Amino acid sequence: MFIFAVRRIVTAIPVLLVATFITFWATSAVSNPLDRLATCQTCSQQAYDRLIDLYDLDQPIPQRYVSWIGDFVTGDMGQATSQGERPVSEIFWERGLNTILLAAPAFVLLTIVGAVTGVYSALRQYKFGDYAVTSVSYLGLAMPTFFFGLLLQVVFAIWIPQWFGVKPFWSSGMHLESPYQYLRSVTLPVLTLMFVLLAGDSRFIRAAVLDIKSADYIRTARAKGVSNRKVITKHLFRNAMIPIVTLWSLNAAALFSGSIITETIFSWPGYGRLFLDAAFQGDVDLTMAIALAITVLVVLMNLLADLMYGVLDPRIRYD
Amino acid sequence: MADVKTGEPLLSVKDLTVSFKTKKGMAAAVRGVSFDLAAGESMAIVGESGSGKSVSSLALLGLLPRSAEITGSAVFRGEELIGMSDKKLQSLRGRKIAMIFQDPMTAFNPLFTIGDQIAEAMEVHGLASGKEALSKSADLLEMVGVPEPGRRIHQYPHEFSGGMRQRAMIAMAIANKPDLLIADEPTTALDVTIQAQVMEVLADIRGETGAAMILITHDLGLVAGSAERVQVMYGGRVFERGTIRSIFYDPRNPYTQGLLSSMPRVDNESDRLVPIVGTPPSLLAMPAGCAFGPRCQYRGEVCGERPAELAEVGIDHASRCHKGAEIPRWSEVSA
Repeated sequence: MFIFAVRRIVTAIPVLLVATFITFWATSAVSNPLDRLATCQTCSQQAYDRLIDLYDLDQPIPQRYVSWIGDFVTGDMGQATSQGERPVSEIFWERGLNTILLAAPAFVLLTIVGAVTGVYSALRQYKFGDYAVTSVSYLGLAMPTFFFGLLLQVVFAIWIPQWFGVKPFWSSGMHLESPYQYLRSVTLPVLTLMFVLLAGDSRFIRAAVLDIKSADYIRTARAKGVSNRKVITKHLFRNAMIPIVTLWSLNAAALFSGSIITETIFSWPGYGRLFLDAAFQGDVDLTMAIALAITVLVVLMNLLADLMYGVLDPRIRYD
Repeated sequence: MADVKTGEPLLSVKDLTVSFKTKKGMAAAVRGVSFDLAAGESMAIVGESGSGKSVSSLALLGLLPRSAEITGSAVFRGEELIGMSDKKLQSLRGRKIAMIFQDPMTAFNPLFTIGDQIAEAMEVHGLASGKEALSKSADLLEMVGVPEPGRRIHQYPHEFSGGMRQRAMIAMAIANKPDLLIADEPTTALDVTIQAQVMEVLADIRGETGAAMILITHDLGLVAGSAERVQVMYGGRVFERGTIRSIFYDPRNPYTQGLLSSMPRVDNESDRLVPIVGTPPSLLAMPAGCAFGPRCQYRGEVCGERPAELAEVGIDHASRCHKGAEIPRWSEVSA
């Protein structure tokens, strides 16, 4: 298992190189930092030269990529021109923490609520409870994030603002003065992030459980005299976990890489908006740092899922 | 054959019916099945797919989905099984009545070792636990002829071959020395050579434990060596029942005769097999009258009007046919 993990991490390096190169190329190709100076009457030749020097704009893109990598591995993440020339490393960790503050509770809640509703509706298939969960799920599937987020804004910022203290499109939505403030500010964005993913999750888990529920070995277990409760907890759940682990790893990758829409609606300073801003303003260094972080996250989550399969299923062994 | 002490059969089934609610209406899978089974006796239920043979045994153990409606009576050791509480049924399942399923490939949970799964059968009934249950599992595997049982109990189902898995399945079924074994197509998923071995194991095990057996199969050839009595089912009804001798040498029902003619025989000179024309009826659209009527070469007007009754045609031998007396004897048909 250890050797497998090491091998997987090593084989992830080319994946990271390809992913970062494509991002680098795309960002450099569509945005030119010099554009911002084109209409600037008061800017001097020095400012021009400085940008050319900063981004090696006099060199072709592949060469720029190589020099970016060289800087990156030696610990120099560059400067964020879109964020007032602050060092990328500083913004990267600051926004990273903000993203985690939003994504972690959303992930935990999504995992728990998705599993509970999915399993519940599978075990009560075609009964009232199942129909209720299914109806709400379809509502969630049909409702885009921006609509649900705005709906929450209308209800909790305009109709009953006293609950969460949200002001419509308040400029800084994140409050870390106290745990209470944090909870107040994080609740609505977490609900928004979660609700839309939840619908799909619940349906997926329902299907996974139903699939196992009709398996022959479930009938065998019942024929042995195993109680219904134990059939579910011992024989059913562990088998159903295999596809569900995949789902969870995808969710984690999606949530922890930041959400553009939710962060925008609730003014949450996470990766999603930062990435968008950086990409639009041709801030290559910052774009690259976030792109790399997201790629690493996806690769890690896949690895984690693969390792979990090995733990769950004896047919999958990696040595 | 009945229990010497009480005169009661081990299992007495009367007018068992099972129907399923479907979107297209009620599907009657079993339409009035009755039989008695004495302790230690072996009976075969034979029929094509959809004849209701598996459903009737699953109904006895309460293993059918909730959409199934079951009526009639099934008394096992003096207790009524139909309508019995889940808890009581659980205590019977695997303890007094054990089942051997058709496909050993899918009937074991892939995530637990064979030893764990056999041990679980004993543990749920509190007959052994922990290390003791595991070592008993090894003994059971040895009994059914699995080599190196001490090592094999730690293996997973995917590390077993089909034949070995079916042996393990038998070991699991006999773990608690049940009074009744229900073997639902126990060899269908296996190679012919392995089939014979598995049937032999079953026969040996029954010799040792004295368990009664209901063998459910579509394969008449399997029945000959392993059951004392046979029920031939078609369209949810018993069409003929009798001893092995009477069913194989003196079948009276056109359906049974058809089944036998479609089966290769060593003792028959003719080199052509005669299939039964047509297909079994859909459960949702049973023909009026005799279910076999549309496929029967002897059918007359009455056959389309009402179903025939099961009538005695000899000692411990009954057939369900309107044309009873007109059906030629098997000795004439097969000659």
